[in-house]
Amino acid sequence: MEELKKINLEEIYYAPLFNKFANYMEKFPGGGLILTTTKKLFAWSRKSSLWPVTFGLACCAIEMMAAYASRYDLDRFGVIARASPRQSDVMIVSGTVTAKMAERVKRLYSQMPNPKWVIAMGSCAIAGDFYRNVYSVVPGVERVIPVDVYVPGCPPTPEGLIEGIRKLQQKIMEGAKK
Amino acid sequence: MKREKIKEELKLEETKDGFLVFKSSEFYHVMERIKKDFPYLSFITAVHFPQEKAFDVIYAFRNIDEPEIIFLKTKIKEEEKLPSAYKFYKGADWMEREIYDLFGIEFENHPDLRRIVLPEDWEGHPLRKDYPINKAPEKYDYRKKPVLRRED
Ligand code: SF4
Repeated sequence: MEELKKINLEEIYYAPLFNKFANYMEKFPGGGLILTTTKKLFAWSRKSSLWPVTFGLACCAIEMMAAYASRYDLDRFGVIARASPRQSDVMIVSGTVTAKMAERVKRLYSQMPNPKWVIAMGSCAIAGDFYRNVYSVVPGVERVIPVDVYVPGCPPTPEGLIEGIRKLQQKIMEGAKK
Repeated sequence: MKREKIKEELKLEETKDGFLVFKSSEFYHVMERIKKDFPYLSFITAVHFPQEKAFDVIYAFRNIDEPEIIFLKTKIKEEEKLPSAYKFYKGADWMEREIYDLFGIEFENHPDLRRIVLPEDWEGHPLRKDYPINKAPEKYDYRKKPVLRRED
């Protein structure tokens, strides 16, 4: 009985834990522990696999395709185009939105599961560009769906789109800090 | 050249820039003759003249055997209708729908004359010269709709 009393309670509780993590601590570069909240963990995993809807509207779509292809390779950022809005979490609006298309854009957006984000690519999607006052053009996709990141240019280069995606990733991580 | 032959046969006038002008009342007769030598309808387009209240409708046909193109032109009044070329060229279907959509020219005997580019309930025909550039029906006028913002 006396022997038992001598034992430090803290040791009993925490020793297995320390022993268990000792292995991992060595494996991690720098040997530290990873401590995080689930919120940040989710945000990190979401930002690392942004899947856009396969969806192009006008000349900007050509630059978007170039960004997907091997030279610029958006795969590096976990961006892989999906052919269904139900499997996607980001919509890249690349081009002029017309009044007839606006209803389709809205519908595609509402078919995407939460959480979802929107990138407005090019002057047309941002504010209608020089077609702003034309009868059939929507002056900015923000009148149809809420936009997270605006990528200016006519058309933006693939580098510009990549920058926009990086900004969206930043935004997602910042959202987790709140 | 087959173009010259057709011009002589049908006694068509030629304008300075090479369009053969025909009367819209002779439409079926002209189309029937042209179909024999020019089996491919390249495009149909129109021009509006608001002062004269008239349209020029322009047809371009191609010859498949030889590299040759022929342009035909006809003038119609705003309220007049034009026969459809669908009977001779199936490709005329969508081209005539587009002209109907944007100019409001109606084609007789067209199988399915509906709007093709604009929404079905659009008002007016935007490529007419008297159509204001930014006029749109209330439902489609996104310029008056509010800008949406993210909540967070
Ligand atoms: S912003 Fe320029 S490149 Fe992009 S869709 Fe509009 S006109 Fe085309």
